[in-house]
Parts: sequence; C-alpha cells; structure tokens
Amino acid sequence: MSEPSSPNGGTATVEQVDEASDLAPGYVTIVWDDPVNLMSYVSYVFVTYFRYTCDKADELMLKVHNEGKAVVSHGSREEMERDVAAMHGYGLWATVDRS
Amino acid sequence: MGQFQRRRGQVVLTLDAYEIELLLALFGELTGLLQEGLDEAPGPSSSDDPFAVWEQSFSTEPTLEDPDFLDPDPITRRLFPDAYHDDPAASADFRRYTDGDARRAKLDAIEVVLDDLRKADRAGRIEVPAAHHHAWMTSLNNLRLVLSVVLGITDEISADEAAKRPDSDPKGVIHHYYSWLGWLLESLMSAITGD
Repeated sequence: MSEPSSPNGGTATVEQVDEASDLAPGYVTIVWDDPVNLMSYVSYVFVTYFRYTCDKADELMLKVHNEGKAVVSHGSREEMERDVAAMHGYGLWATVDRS
Repeated sequence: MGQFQRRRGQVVLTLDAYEIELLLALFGELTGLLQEGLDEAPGPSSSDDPFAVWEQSFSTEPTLEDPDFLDPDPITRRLFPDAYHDDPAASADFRRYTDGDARRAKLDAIEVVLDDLRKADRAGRIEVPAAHHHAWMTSLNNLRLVLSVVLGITDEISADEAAKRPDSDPKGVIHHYYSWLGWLLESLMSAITGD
C-alpha cells in the first residue's frame, strides 16, 4: 500500500515538514491512544491518508500507543482541521493543537 | 468464521448466512443512528417543500447555547469526537461545519457495504472491488467503535472487563460481535496489503 520509495526518501520528506514547522508557528494534528482501534488499523490509516512509509507509520502508531499521543502532521489551522476530520472519518481520536 | 481473503488479485469476503444477517442488522442500526443526527443537523434535506429547506437553513442552525449540541450522546461523541482538546467553542464550531458531511460520508460508506452484502452468492461469497475497500474498512471500524461504547470500553481495564463477561450476559454476546468485527477488519487489511 505504501508509495514505492526508499526509506531514506521517506525520512527526508518528513524532515522537510519538521523544518517548515520550525520556521512558521502553526498547528499540528495529534492522534490520541484509545483501547478500541487496532494497532494495525492505525498504521494502515497513517500509510493510506498521509502516504507515510510503513516504517514511519508504525513508528507513529507505537508512539501513540506507548506515550498516549503523537503529532502526525503539521500545517495551517485549515489543513489540520482537514486532517482531523479525515482521522475522525477513519474513527481515530484526533485533535488540532498549536505547534 | 467468515473472513476476507485475496483470491487471484481480488478481495473476496466469505460469510455464512447468520453472519450476513448479523452485519445487515448491525449496519441497519448504525444507519438509523447516523440518520437521526442528520435529521437534527442543518444540511440538504429530502423534503419536497423547498421552503422547508430554506426556512431550516435559518432556523435550526445549532448554536453554542444548544445544550445537546455541546453534549452529544456517548456514541455520537465517539464517532464524532471534539476536534480541540481544551477549546469547547472551537470544537463546537468545527462540529457545526463538519457534522453533516461527516455523517453523510459514514452513511454513504455503509450503503456501499450493504449493497455488497446483498450481492452475496449462495456460498456467501462477496467480491469486494478496490473502490469499496475504504468503505468496508471505515464501516467495520465504526461498528466496532459503537459496540465499544455499548460495552463501556474506555481504557485497557474496562476492555479486559468487557472481555470477561459470560455468554449469559447480553453484553457478553455483544463482546463476541466486537471481537469478531476486529478479526474481520484484520483479515480485510491483510487481504488488501497482501500480508
């Protein structure tokens, strides 16, 4: 299901997003842990919606599971509300917050 | 027990007659629940009276003052959670702008699933085209979320307690459905990703 890309390519893309968020204060989408959604399903959603690599999706899913929440995307308030609406569409518990 | 499998590149669901009836009934309930909320929310109406639609757009816009709007029932809260952790006003705004579309998206997905279920052949086989995978995935998960609310599952402890209910307890039976839906969902993901 993931985009055919090398692990290095995937990591570089994610780093660019992080750098952009450092420059301009914006908003983030946070996904919270819940006891219902299957771990495999959460990873699947991250790969399908955000087009993250399987490795990146698993890493984020484990962060949600172990730490109770994880930032899964950065951007403007409108963009984050769109991501949160999409996460709710998949049945994940997600919120918008300031980065 | 029914499951999704990949056969010659095609995702196929095989269910027995009872499982098909069960899914039709559960999705029917969920449709009613989602439809109920839609009737309360502003949005395109199926009413034949154009004035009713026009009037509705001015008069029934939910507001912050509406107590039901701020405190939706537990199932609604689980399917349509707050979008802001510590900002009820922003969450209410978000809900106001997204609720109708979000409900309609879930209803449309369930309709796709119900159509597929009705197409089962005599062996209980249903071919699920790639364009329907998303609808199946989200709808099965939505059903699980609803059953989790009915079972009172809010954390790991309540999840364990729900799993220990005996079959003589009606909620014990619901927990069987809940587990089965999780299993079906896992089999769908495996069939899609080819794992």
